[in-house]
Amino acid sequence: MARSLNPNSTGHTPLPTRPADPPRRGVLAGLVAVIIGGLVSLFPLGAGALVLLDPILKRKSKPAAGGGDKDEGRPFRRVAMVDALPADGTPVQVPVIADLTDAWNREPNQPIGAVYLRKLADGQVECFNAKCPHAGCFVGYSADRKVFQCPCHTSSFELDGKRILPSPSPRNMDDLVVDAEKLRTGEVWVQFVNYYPGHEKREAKP
Amino acid sequence: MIRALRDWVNHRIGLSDIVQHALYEPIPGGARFRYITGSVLVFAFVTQAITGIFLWMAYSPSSQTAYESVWYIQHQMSGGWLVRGIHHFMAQAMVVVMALHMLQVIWDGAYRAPREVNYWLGLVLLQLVMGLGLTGYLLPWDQKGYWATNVATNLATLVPFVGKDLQQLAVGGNEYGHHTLTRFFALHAGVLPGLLVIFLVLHIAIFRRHGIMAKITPGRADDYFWPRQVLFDAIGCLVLLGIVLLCVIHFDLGAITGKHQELTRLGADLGAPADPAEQYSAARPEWYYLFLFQLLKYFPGSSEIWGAIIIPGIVMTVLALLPFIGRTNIGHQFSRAFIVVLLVGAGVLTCLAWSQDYFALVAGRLNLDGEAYAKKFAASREFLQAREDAERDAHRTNELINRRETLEDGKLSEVRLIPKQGAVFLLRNDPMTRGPRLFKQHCASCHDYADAEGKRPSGLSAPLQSPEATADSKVKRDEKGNVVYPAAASGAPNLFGFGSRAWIKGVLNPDALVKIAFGEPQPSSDPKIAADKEHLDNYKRPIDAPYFGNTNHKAGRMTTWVKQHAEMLKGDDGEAIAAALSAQAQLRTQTKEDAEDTVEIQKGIGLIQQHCTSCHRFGDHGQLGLAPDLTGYGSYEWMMGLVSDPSHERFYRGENDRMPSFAKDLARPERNNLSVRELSLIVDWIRGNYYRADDPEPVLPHTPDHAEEAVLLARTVTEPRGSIVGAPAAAQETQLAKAERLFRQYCAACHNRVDSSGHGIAARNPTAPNLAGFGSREWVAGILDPKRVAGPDYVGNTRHKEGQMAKEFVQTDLAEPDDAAKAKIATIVAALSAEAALPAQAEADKKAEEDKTLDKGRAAMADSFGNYACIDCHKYREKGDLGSAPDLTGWGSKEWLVRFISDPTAEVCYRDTNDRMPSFGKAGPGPKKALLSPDDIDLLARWLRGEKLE
Repeated sequence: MARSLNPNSTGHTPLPTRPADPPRRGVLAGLVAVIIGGLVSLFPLGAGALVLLDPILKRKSKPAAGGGDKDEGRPFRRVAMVDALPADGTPVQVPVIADLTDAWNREPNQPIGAVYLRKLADGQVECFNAKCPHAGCFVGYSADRKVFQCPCHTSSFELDGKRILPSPSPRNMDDLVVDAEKLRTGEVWVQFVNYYPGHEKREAKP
Repeated sequence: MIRALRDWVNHRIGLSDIVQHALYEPIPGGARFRYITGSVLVFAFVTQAITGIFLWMAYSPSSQTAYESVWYIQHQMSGGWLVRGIHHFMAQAMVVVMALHMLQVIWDGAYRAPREVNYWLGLVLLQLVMGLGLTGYLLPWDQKGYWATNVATNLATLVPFVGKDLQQLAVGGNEYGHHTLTRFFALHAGVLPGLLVIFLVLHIAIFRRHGIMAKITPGRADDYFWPRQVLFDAIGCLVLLGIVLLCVIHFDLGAITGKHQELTRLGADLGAPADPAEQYSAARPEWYYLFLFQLLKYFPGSSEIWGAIIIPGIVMTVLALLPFIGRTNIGHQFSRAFIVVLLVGAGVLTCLAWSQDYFALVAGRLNLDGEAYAKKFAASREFLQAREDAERDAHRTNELINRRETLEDGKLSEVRLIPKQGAVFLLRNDPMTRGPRLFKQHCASCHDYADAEGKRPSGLSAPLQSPEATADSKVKRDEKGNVVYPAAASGAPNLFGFGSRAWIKGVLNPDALVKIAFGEPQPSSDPKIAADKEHLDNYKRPIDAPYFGNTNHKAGRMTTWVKQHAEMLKGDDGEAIAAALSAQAQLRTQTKEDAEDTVEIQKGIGLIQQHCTSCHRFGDHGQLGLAPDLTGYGSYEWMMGLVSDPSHERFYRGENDRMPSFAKDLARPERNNLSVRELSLIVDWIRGNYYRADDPEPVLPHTPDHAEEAVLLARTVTEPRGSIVGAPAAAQETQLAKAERLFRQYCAACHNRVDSSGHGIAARNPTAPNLAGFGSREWVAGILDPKRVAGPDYVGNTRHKEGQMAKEFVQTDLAEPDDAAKAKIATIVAALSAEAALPAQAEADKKAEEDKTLDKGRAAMADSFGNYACIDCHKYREKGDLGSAPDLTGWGSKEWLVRFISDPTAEVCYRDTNDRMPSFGKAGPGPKKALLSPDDIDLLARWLRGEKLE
């Protein structure tokens, strides 16, 4: 055995590598050591978990105007003038402009999505969210076939939003509420809502 | 000496033990190439780590800087394209080598006891590597990566219970943004590589514990790892590196010797910058995920969860259970079959995905046809077109970043690079990219945009006219069975080359101006609809109406004028006018000609002043009111003004046909159809005012601030620019002032109203009677005076000069009246003038009534003067008929004047003998409003009659 480097050692034989019979005090010390050790090592992870889960925690503490899943209470946004819509009922895609918040940026008048507008025979205006309910791509419109056609997985929809089966899309295009009052004055105001893609029953995104 | 050093180091760190342990791993049966896959994978990962760290030193993970930093790495940093290229292609190589490794491990049974745990560690590593591929794809923040990953994270919502939360965690919120990038980057550069290293160390350690699962064939000597297996491994790595490098240079060996610019085209692809508002129709995951993409196509609607979660879950579970399945020999054969089927299946799905996307290319070459292929062909064509568009946008982004402009001294500026708002801002504000799309969205429903050969920008097609429909939506036919088309105007001019000399020459050509031609109707492309002969969609016919042909201006005053002056316009004068007017536009494509033809342009300006300013304003000449301002015609500011509000006083006012005002309300921009910025993009596109790399004198488009200024400038042409703060409110315009203004604007183009001493309002080019004292006895006497009737004060400058009244009556019958005739004429003058009941003449009229002069005059209207009596042509009270001349009943009274000014072509007025006087009170055709309101006409009539106005 090498001489210990410790100048204060008494020169006794060092402890064996492992105690034959762990003393009882050792059990308590070991337990407390594990608990404390666990706490200190998990603490950074715990703090980190708060940051990681921020999108979910923020959503639960500060629900959207009108409350989480319900659609009422969401603001109406002006998207177009009625005269700008073709009289023959061809759908047009228009962007929805609003303040766009992205973490620390808030930019006014940015496109936050798009809708399709279509003039109906009785003067009403039909509105669909332009995002495909399948996987969230923007749906296109095929003028010669008069159907909505999504380029990503070829879901297609009739002019009234019903999907043309067989279709990858689990539901029809999401229709949005158009403000009837404002429609009479010649403006199209739409309650813009995004829905989760991929589900049969539509559920609004917070 | 060396040995002493080696011993010193050894004693401290035990190096030789480590080296010994590492290098002298026993390989029963000798070194083989089939064992290299593991080492090659390690090499690939280390390469990724190294290239990744160097990329990390230049990459900035924020949605405003990610694309830009990657662009910089690719195009500006020395070797940037190379490092990025290696990183990109080595990632793909890693997936291939991983598949090979898995195949070898399972085939050789190295997944069975006691190596199960090691095998599972390998499965974990597989997931980590696939995760690295997914997270890395998003980091350049280009359209491709953005939209493909968007779809992938949307799929995460399919996981039951926690799917939506999972997606939120991955995306960092509801929508893609800053936090998506930061999270993905943390995963890609920190968490996943860290985990990978940990699991790799465990994997290798446990591998060494059990040793290699050797494939023994008799007769082969045993080996150690070093040196022969190391050699085989190194060769494998070299081959891999070679393949990767070949991919990096796109298999183009010649390019290595190219200039710097060429080199940056190589390496990994960089698409257009991510734009959440721009649809990207060619979104596909990286090729090694295509099999999943294809699989999903077979699980439509709500069964999607099977393809996305359940089946992959089952596959992974089976893979994890293989060590237990493979315990027996049959089980082992099953495992082998499973992995082969899996890999082959994935390969087949990948090929299917490719074949569907590229079907149109193949079908074109094989000339496949038929309805079954039609849908496939259409889908593939759309994908390929979207690919082309994406490449074009990517190329354009690079071009725009390298834009220069021509400085004042003619030199080129430095490249402008990327503004703080990012590369996406450049593309969004590029007229060449956005102009055609905005035009298609907002203008193409009426305006055509086609060059002389009929070529149009992609996405635009010839305007089509639909037939009239019956009540049950079938095509309407007339008695002969021909399809009936609506007669109403439905289009607008072709704007290609607007403002150019050729375009203006077309306006000045009477045939081109009103031309409207129809093509043959094209049946629908849907064979079911095409079979229905009465379906509306089979009878849409293309329209060719380059100017007014399909508008309500077709029957307007300009058309009449052009027809009347066709001869003059055909010759040199027409050329000069076109050159002069086109010069106002200051088109870039014409700067040379405009600079050279100064003489012709000056001549043209003179001609415009001479011929056009009766109706049009042009600089200091002419007035607004009857026609659009020609000052600055076709210039940026003029076009911005016109498109933002064509019914503005400066342009078409109430006579605007059907063109909407796209940005009328500058104070409340949210009420407008288009923002001024978007208008500017369309106008700059039409005028060719955008950056082009091949331009010897490149220009940059107008900024949004310029655009706002231009619209304001365009509108303040009619009003004083500033106003005095605190001044008392401007006095209301008096009726008199208003009447004079109206006369100047609308009447003085042709009529004088100048008395004998020269007072009054003069026309620039009098071509109509002098209205001073209209209705008075002096005035009537003049029109019945053979010496004056054909003079400039009456019909001398009109075509009535050759008419019956002047030539056959006044100049013939009244040529040399004897005294009796003179007396009769005098009574007629009094009687006719009395019909007007002018207030200034009230006394005289009363006296004439009392002494029966008026009765005599009225009777004399029925007396012949030789050939004619008045009532032979004119209707007068109960005598005479309409049909040959204006009704003289109440002639010159307010009611008569109002009726006359409103519509001189009315039955009671000049009908078709009306020379050129517009119908000021008639609206139409179409939505065109009347030139003057009834109140205005009333006011003018009263003023002309000398009534007292407030």
